[in-house]
Amino acid sequence: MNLSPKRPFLEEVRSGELIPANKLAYFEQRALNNFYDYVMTRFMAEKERSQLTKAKLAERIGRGPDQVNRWLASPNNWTIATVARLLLGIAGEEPVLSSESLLGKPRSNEYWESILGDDGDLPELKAPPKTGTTRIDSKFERIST
Amino acid sequence: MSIKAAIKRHVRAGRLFPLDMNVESDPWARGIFFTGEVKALLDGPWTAPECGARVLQLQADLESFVRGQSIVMCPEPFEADDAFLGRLHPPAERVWDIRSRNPSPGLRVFGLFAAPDVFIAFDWGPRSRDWNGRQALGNRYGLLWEVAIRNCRGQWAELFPGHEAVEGVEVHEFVTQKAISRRSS
Repeated sequence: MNLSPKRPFLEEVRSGELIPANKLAYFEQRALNNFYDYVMTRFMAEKERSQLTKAKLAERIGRGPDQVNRWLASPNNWTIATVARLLLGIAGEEPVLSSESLLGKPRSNEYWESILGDDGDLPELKAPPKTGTTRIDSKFERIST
Repeated sequence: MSIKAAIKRHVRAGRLFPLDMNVESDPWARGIFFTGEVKALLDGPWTAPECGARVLQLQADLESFVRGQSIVMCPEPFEADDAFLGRLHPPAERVWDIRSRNPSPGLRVFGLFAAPDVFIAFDWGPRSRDWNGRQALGNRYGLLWEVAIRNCRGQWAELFPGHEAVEGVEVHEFVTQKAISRRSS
């Protein structure tokens, strides 16, 4: 029986060793989810601000409504070109990348108990967290709709 | 006892497990708790080395939910397509699947909402082909989907007697922030 303690997930990142394929796959998916969250957050903001719809977006970027519906439902088939096209169509913006270290950050205070509250009730809703290890900011003027 | 207190009690008794975040600085904005079946999938061991990479991609998707990232939900059974969460038929059973679709095989994690933003997962399955010792769920009208739904309902009744899962029409009744309906314009 293997009784050795579980290796910290970021151990290879910390030590400079070869990062196993499993973990590379994890961080690729995580990055994709971060991109998706960023673009969707911009879409929802423009939907609220300027009544942008999926149909208008599709028209603006020259794609069919079904394609845009699929892109906005999941990042499964996204490429860098998809991100560029969507951000341009949603808000007249382009991605500007920044990244931050995974290491040295304190453990979050919002753990599973905080979701359930002190006595088992949900705490007050908080603003959604800023996401992940890679953040995309965008610039340039928005397209008026 | 409130359902949230019941969840805490089950976690402390080792009957439910909170998702273990791989990056400890990630906050919990929503909750996923699961039974030993799903924990065994996430923790391994797996039947083949390549399963490990697929499981960690699923883990990244589950963490995305917990981190409060944007999701698309589909309350209409059979129409989920690319949505992250789809309600299964019949809606009265209140069972949803989390859909980690890429890469193949797609994986489905089945469960119910104990409260808004709190998902309890009871079972899982590979969508398109046998994988990691599990038979493919196959066609959405197939028997294994029915089995998964019954399994979820049965385990729910055992863990939460006297409590009903969340039901509703609008996605915000299940996920309060950064969720949109697949059908929204």
